Amino acid sequence: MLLSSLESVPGHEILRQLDVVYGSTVRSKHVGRDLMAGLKNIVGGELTGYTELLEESRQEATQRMIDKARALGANAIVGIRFSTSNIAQGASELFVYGTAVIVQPKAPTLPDPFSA
Amino acid sequence: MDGLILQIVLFLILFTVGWGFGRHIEQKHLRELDEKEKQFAHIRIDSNRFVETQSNGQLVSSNVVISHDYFKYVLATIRNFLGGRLTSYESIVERARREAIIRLKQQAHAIGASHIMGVRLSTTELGMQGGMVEVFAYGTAIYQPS
Repeated sequence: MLLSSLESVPGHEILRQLDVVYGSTVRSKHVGRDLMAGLKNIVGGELTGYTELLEESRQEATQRMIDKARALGANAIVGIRFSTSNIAQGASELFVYGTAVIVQPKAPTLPDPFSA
Repeated sequence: MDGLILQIVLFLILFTVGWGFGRHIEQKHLRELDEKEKQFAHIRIDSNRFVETQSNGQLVSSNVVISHDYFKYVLATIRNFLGGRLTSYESIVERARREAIIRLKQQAHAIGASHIMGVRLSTTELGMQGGMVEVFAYGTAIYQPS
């Protein structure tokens, strides 16, 4: 599955647009991490635990989107956008969406023999 | 009366610890950012959506969560009464953005790309008192087919 945040997949041409596909996941923090975060709130700096947690969750959401696209018979997703929202105290939703398309690699353009 | 004194002492301890460690961590982070920005300066980024290229591309993404320190929290609370720019929080968000972009470039570098297109940045506030901010960056890295 080719993923792209652009209007097209670089080096490929779009044969057919299928449908909008999306994936989401709602995650809550856990007590141990929250405790560490409380301490970090005093001294400042990066919260590695949360960074990893959110990264994992986004990967899961992306995987769900890919599964949907695969079910449609697509081989690429273009125009991918991510969004995050706090839906409840301590829980956040990670949402990703894009357009499932069928693409094929562009034929390499041969140099023009008459230009030289 | 004792309770009040204890609270004031606790506040002062947190305030000083926040100021000391917060400053130290921030300055260390800023030095690291400067260094890494120089290291990855050769990777170009743009936010253009419409692209015509012969090369292949791949989605890259990165995120970073940064928390405030107690000193900044107190400053911001005072500022909230008076209104105006919250300079102490501006620096946190800026650090988070620069870090996210550097990580994005690191990922592009790892797959041998020299250009990231269609970069989008999103910022989310996490946590109870709003002390934590997450910056998520994503884009399409362009690399020459091998």
